[in-house]
Amino acid sequence: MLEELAKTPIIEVERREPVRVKPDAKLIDVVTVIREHKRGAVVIEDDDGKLAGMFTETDLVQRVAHDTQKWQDSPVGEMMTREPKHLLASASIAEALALMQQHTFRNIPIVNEHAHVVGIISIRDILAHLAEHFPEEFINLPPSSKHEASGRWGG
Amino acid sequence: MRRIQRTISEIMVEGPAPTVGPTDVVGDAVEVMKKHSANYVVVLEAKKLVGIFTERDYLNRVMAARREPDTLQVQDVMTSEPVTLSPADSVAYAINQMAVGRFRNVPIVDTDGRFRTVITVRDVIHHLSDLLAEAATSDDEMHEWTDIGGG
Repeated sequence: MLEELAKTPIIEVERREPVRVKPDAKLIDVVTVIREHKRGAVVIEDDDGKLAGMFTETDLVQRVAHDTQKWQDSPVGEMMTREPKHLLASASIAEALALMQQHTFRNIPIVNEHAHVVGIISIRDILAHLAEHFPEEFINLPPSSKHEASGRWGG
Repeated sequence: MRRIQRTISEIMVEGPAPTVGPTDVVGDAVEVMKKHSANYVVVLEAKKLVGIFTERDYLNRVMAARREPDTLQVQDVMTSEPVTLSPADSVAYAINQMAVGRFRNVPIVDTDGRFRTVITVRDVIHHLSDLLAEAATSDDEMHEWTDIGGG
């Protein structure tokens, strides 16, 4: 089962469409789209539709100066990760996980041979795939007596 | 896949956690996150877990709302009484919380209510990645991707 999981191409994992913005988008607008789409990251595309960068919630915390409201009008292009690590659609779950582990990423853009963004894979997509395809391992675990007592799984 | 039924205590990392008090201001909480390179802070009161405040909360409840981080208290924007797990629970429970519950950070609390640590999606990535790498090296036919997972 592990082997099967490891080899599964990321294109077979159910994913959400990436949220795309241009490098000159204002950070406040990027914050708004991240919130509206409930994402952890956006991909930044240049005018030719090629991958220009990534910007994540973590970047927002770690890179943006919060002591004034000036950040709101800054273009995302100044704060994004340029030339981000990416995967081809043929990459496997094992490759995606290894890249996530190595760089502490939660989201990796997927590109075609022309560097156009064709998708994004997130750790949540991979975990949801696990939970869906190996339900006996993830969903139907017998709750421990502790759980029943505390009622933590009641909701 | 058996190994996913390891317990959280086997993979959790204990150490000084990023911690704030409920009346600390959000700006300080963000500094604590940065200092620990963490995506969250736990909110403790008299050593008991009362909430968690994550970078997602910061984005949604502070930045998008254009509120002032230096005057806003953490207790006004944290998630109170978050879902917790115990060190004896299976790693699969944590994965389920993350996949279905959409939490990226799950506080681990002893049965006596004492806060221990937080299991993060990063810990789970590490665990799964190691599992797949081990599966690869244990099978000669899998050489094509031993390099990928071997880090």
